[in-house]
Amino acid sequence: MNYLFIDASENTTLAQTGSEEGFKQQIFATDRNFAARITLICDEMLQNAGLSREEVQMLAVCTGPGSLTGLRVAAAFMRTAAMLLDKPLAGISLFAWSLQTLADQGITGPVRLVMPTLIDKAFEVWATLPAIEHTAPVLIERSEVGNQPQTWGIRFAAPGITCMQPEAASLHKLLTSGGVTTAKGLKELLDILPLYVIPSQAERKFKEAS
Amino acid sequence: MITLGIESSCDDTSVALVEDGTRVLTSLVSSQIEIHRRFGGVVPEVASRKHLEAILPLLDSAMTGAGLTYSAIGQIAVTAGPGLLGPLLIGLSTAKALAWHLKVPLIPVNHIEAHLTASFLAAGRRPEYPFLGLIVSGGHANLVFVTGPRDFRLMARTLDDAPGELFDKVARHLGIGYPGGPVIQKTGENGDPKRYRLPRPMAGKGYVFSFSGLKTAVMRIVEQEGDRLNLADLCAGLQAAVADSFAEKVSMALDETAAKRLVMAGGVAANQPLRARMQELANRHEAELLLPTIHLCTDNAAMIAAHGYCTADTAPANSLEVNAVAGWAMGGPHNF
Repeated sequence: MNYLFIDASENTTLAQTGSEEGFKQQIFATDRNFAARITLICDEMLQNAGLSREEVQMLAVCTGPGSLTGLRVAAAFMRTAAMLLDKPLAGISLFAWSLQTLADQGITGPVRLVMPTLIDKAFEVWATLPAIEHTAPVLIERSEVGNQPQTWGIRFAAPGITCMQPEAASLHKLLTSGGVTTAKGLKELLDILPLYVIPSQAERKFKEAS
Repeated sequence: MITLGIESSCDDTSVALVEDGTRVLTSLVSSQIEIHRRFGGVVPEVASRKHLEAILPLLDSAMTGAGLTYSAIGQIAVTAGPGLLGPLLIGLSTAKALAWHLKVPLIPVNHIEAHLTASFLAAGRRPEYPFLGLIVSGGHANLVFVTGPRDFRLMARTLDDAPGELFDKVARHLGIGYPGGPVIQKTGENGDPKRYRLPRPMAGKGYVFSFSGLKTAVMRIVEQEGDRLNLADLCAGLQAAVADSFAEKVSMALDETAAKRLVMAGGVAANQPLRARMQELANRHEAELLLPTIHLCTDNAAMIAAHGYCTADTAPANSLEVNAVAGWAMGGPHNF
């Protein structure tokens, strides 16, 4: 299964290609210029993998949590590309990717994955996936995070929280194992959306008004 | 040559197909007005999310509606600014994926410049130069002398509020609804514009607009009149004051430039009292007045496609690498 994956959840952009022969991951220092460089990144990754656009069998995009603008730009681009290329698109959350990484490291039993985030850029809360069987993140307060066994921070560490990095090999396994849900065709592609787990001021206002 | 236009600079997602820059094959708009109405204005984060949800179905509908396949698209024009950055990036990223896949040119379009092209598009014509352009919207009040597709001389702009912003704020204060322009026009339909004495801001002060004083004046009248307030007369008076303010500067500019063509564009160009005032003025100066249809007044992708067609030669060679620019000035370089 040949694939192209883009993760724009951080200031840097992570891209990965894979095939039966293996995978290649590269990190691009895009900062705020991700939207400007997205086609260059895709072309460079495909060229390095020796793949044409038509030879790609699946596209994949990180759905976050993370930078909402980056996630949306990546989603807009990859959904459109998937529709035009008539290829399936997989939406991969950092939680699902991280759980695969932990499983590949032989970690079993309930785990807790957390990411720090902010409400209204002021009040600290933590997005968390409380147990391995959960698929959707929930928001908890900072005080609820500590002193629980097997609490892992995705790409960060804090007292009581062990840093873990979602790994390229685990992503490759996730995307090539056949276990990942993909969307194909306009109707299904519309379900590939960023995880809006950061309740911004706008979202709070929206909910209040609703 | 078929140009696909994409517009997402604010709260309207729009996709259009235009042939040879003059013939609209299809033009679809998905409006978020109802969503933002409850806030009394556009919330950028909410707008970005809604653009992402709307853009692909709209694109699909546009292609189906026009009976075309993607291979028929010769080039893609997309709004790259000015506007809200988050919403702009959704349209731009979608356009990039299309241009990347179809291997066709991508033309970044300045949204405000495109509003002027909309008036020619409404007449089924390509822009003819020179002309005097008045852009009136929720974010702009610009008077420009236009000598080429991207050649503008700014003659006047607002020091504070834009007219659409003024209408929104006044409508909110009066509690009559959102967006302000249409509700103020409707409320003032049978009103007496002379009943309340409203100022003509910056009258006799050269090429400059200002509307925040008008807003204050309206609020003062509301306070003074209390229960006696006649809303219809107040709304009629406000529109007359706005129209007079523009008319004075436009008249000066027509004299100075000797332009024989006047173009009004932007969302507020839908305002009937303002349209009537500009027609009187054009007649007096023996100039041709070009106005967009109501559909082309508001943000739409047809004008983006038409302007992209006219400015394709000026697009940067590496246009797949352009970024969105929230504050892209009219005629300004592609500083991406």
